[in-house]
Amino acid sequence: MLTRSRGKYPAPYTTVSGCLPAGFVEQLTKHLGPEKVLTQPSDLMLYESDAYDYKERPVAVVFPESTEQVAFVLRIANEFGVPFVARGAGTGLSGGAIPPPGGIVITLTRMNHIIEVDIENRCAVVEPGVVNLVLNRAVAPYGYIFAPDPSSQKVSTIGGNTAENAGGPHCLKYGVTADHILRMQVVLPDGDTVEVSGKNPGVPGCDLAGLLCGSEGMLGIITRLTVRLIPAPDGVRTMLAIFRTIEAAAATVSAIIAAGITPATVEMMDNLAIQAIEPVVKAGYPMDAAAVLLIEVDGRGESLERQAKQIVRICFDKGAASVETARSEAERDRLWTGRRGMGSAITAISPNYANFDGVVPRNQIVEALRRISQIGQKYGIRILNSFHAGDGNLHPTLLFDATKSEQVERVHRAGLEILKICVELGGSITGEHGVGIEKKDAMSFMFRDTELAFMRKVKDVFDPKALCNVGKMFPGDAGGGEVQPISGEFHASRSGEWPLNAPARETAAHVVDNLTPKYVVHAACPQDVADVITEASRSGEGLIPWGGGTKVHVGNIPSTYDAALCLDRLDRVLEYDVENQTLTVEAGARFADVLEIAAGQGQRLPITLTTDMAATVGGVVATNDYGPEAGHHGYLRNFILGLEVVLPTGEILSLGGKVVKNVAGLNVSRLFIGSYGTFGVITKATFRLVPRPEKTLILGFWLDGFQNVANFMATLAATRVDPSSVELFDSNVPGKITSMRPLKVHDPVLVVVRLEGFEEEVSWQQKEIERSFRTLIPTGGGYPEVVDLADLSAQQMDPQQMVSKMRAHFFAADGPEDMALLKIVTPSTRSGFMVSASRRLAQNYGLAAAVIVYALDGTIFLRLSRAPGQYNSNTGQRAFAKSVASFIRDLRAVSPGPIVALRVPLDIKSDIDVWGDYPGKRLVHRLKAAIDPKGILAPGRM
Amino acid sequence: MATELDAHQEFLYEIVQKCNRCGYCQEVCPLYNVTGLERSVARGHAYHLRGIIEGRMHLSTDVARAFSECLLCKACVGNCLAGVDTEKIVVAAREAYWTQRGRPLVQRIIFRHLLTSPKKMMYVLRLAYWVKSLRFFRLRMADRLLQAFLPALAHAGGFFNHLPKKFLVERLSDLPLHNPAATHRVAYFVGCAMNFVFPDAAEATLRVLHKLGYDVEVVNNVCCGLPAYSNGDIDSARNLARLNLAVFANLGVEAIVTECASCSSFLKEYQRLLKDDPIYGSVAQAFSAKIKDTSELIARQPMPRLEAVADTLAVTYHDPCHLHRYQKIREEPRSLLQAIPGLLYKELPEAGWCCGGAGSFNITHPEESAGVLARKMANVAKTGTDTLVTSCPGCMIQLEYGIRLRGLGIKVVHLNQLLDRALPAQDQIERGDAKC
Repeated sequence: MLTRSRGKYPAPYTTVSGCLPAGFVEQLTKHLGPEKVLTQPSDLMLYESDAYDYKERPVAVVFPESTEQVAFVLRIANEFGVPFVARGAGTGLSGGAIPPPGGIVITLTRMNHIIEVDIENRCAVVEPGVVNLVLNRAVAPYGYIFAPDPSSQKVSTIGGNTAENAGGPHCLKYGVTADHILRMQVVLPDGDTVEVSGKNPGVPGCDLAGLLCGSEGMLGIITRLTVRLIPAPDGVRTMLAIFRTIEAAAATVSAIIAAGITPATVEMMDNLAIQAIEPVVKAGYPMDAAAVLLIEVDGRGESLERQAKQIVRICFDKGAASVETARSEAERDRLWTGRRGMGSAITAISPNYANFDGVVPRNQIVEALRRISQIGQKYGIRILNSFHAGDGNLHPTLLFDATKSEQVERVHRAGLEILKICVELGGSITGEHGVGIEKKDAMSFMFRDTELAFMRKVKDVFDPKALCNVGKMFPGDAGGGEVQPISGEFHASRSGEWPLNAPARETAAHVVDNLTPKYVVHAACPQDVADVITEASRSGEGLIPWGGGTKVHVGNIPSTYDAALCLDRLDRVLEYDVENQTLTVEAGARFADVLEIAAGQGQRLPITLTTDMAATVGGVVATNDYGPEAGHHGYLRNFILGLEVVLPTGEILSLGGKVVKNVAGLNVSRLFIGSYGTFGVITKATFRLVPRPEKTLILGFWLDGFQNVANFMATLAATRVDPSSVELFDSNVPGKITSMRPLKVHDPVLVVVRLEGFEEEVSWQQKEIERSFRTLIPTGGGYPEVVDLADLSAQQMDPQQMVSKMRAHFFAADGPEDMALLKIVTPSTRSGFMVSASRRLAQNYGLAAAVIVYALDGTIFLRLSRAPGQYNSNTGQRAFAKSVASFIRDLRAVSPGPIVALRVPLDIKSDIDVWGDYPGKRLVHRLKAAIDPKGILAPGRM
Repeated sequence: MATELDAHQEFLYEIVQKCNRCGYCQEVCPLYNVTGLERSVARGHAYHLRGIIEGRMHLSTDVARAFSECLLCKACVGNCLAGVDTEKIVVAAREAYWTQRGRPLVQRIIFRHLLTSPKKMMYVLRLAYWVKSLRFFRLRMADRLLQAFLPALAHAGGFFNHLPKKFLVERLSDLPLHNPAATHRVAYFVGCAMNFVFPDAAEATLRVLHKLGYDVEVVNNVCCGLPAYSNGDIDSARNLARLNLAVFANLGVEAIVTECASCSSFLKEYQRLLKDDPIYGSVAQAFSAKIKDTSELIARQPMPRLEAVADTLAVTYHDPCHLHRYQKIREEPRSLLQAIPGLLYKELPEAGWCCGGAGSFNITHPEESAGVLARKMANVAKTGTDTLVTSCPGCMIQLEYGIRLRGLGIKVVHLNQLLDRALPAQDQIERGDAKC
């Protein structure tokens, strides 16, 4: 046998791999077939690492080809207690696909089918092994894209992108992978298959999909994904600006964004990078330039030209030495030469390199670069910086020679120090590569033991046997880890300060489902919240967190309700970083105030609420409220960067931060979004804001009945118009609730389309819509028809105001007793069918319905009351309640999506589960049992 | 005897160390796209060889099987940011394995005895063709015999449909070679596959050269050595190279041409192969500099007006790996094709994607090869053309096989066969020239 080992090469590596339990491989081969199980040492060796420098040889590699086979493998692994890891293309940079000791690798590259391209609903259903670029090629003929584009996109799989919540150069404009994942099928570590979220992600329950994105394969194995598709931009302008100082380059980036332009890409290269690249690649960068900015904007025609001109002006204003704009594809390629040549340039000048992945807020880039260069000097390491400047995602590249072990050690220490700096400057230890094995030790820079323990607890709920990709992410341990015991020593002394026996007036104002609390407690700081919860935990009392009280009617009847925990005194705006477009606010602040503050700076949070002005930030987050624009801009989870939460144990968690790209640790903050206060009390939130659009236009026209909705949406999708919202109102919406009448199939539907963006883009879209729908709109397009609607017609109103007034009227909290409000979550194309079905059913039960549809995602709101003829009958409220209960049961039987009873007569609340069945419900209950075992927070409500 | 791996271990270690395992090679590797296995992609090959050099892994039969799973198409090499030369890794590993293990008899016979003598090869192939031409039941028996004794060759029969009655070397006397009036003298390298499988195409090459006014010298050359080299028998390849250098010495020609992309690419490699050879080193240098693929030679010459080709309407072109990646010749064949009047040229999607033939790969790895071929065939079918043109006999065998299997009814021809038909006879050319 030929073996070689020489002094100068590293010593032979020996793997300590656990022995496989007898019969394990036999079971796998028997069921899957021998060709799907690799056990030869020569094969196993190749799966001992991914693109990160660390080795752990698996004991077997399996290639399942279906969800059932994945589930089978996990069941067998459970039975034999064999740990496992899922692997896609193995391109991860943090060791995410490296198996746990003695574990198996489950390779998903053979699950690589695109199951469905559903342009009408603007989504695609894929298996996890589909390569990112392959999907993009498949949807290109429709004029759509799957936006996440990590630089590995030519080979990396969508499953891997999702598990790592991959970024890429275009995140600034299009967001990270998590923003583009709608629905998931996941095999849990025990072999159970669950569905999470939906084609319409407005499903009830907490945001499990958000938790699973970026969970680094530690909570289960994704076996199917529904991803969002967006219209491909028509054109792109590329500019290259050269700067004499780093400060000027950084100021330019901020100024461009402040001007309301969101470039698709802003890449920066510092002097060291230029000096490294230029001699090898010869891109024409001056060797003495302090920084080079590569800026790309995409979009349509004239607006693109205007943005490009504006960017050039800003560059010069901020002191650019020169700016070059590409006029053709060839010129664009030339401008990119330097950036693209980076990889080969580095390999030409250095035998090895390490690429780190820290994030800082955009306005800290200069400071971060200064400190990084200090570290370079301190450790005697050459560090190049070429990074995504738009979102502050730094990628310091450290050059070294791997054959010199002291250099490897120095690089490791320098890297950790760089990450520490990123955290100190308000950023994150990882923006897109993930924690994995690489940054386990850096996790403690960002999180205290409390947060880490909570993450472990969540992991334990999913993976109680600690088999699924264990030994990653958490510092200092190699397994699932122990959950820290709850400290029982809390100072109850302060409880005396609160008015425990609140005046009757106060308790009467906090009634939930006819239950009056004993106490009403007003917390003034997070510690107060913690103290109250600790106190309640001791006495076993039930608490309901109380914000604006606008949504307390939603939920099942509380099993106990002893105290209302009011957050109205936690109402400060803590920090508004205009330049970084982030806003941190306490939970009790009114959401409307936050919007107003942002508007003052030309920024916004594009979330329209279904509730009135009193809603608080905490309440909005806890109820995951959203408006018709969510299908375009995204849901709350896409805008929340950080949360502070008080757990049922009384511990205060600080999760996330204030940077847009952050994939450090499990994203447990997502659990509290839509949790209705059942997992913890939100005390603080940090939002990402976006610039207000230059122009907003509202188009209204009539559609001949709901049966045309699917057709309408399909035509809209085909035009590649990208409206920010499409809302449908039937003619019962604006009228009095008591005068609602049963509507016929062809009863007209008011369609309100909102277009936003640059002037030219909006007018192009308007033309496109008017051209495409000339045949569909009997009365012709345009706004004038809108005001004809029912009793609003007399008022000369701004269309935007009119639409919001109509919405407010519909969702009004102070309706009569015999009213019910349902939310039906369906895919957009099914919404027309669901409306027709519910109307017919309503008629059968003597009910009349008014309907609002958020057509972009397909959410239907249905307001029920008694049909006119039935109103004065002496059967009374009980009969109405019974009809509603039967109606809900019948509708749930035919509905493709969950149906939530937002507001129903109290009598039937105990008969019907308010939430119904929804994807991931079982998981939500398991989480509740683990996080709040004593049932202190909002008990019985979810 | 020292193998590459022994002699150049440090050099090879440098190559494999460059691989940072980014995995970007997965995109372009035709084989990985079929198997989905790490062992058949460049990253896996580099990792294996690195493990072997570092002493973490033995060059076992399993590892050798992994190294056998490479088409040597070099797609990964061009795509690699770090510039890892996987072809060298794979060949060195194959050599080390077979040297350690002892080369099998068949390989020894072929590389050391048959390839060195075109005559012997001719006799053997005559026999083989005769067996194949026998009636059905005997053929079955022959197949069974093959199965029993040479399983690797059992699949070979299916690739060859019609077999030539006369090899090229037997037709030379009837072909116009010398042109006393010519200003350019070139030597023609007779490729084995051209000679024994596609003599018609080889004949076309010689006619094209003649029509274009070249004086052509044909010598009794041996195999270029690529089959031996690819299977890791570098010594035999060097031996063949030396034999060839000897027969082409002192011819005084300005170029040595061949229409076989594989041959020309490997002949150009002689200078590297014999770099350290005290006697042949400098000769190889000069020799390799003279090697030209026919399209490379012709495309630079002024072309007479071409005529339309009967019964060929639309063509597409498949880039042989050995032409467009090994020799960077991409535009020449296309511009020649497009110069033919009345011919619709359609670009083949993924034209440079390997066809899966890869020398003897289609025989040794029939399943994987079929997978690679399937992708090629799907792309060929998309073009809707009636003729598929290429410049390598290896590809022609594989493509013909794929088309026959699927009943696509598309002709596979060598570029020179079309050119031959498009070029008017020489006397007409001369008259045409006089007119201009």
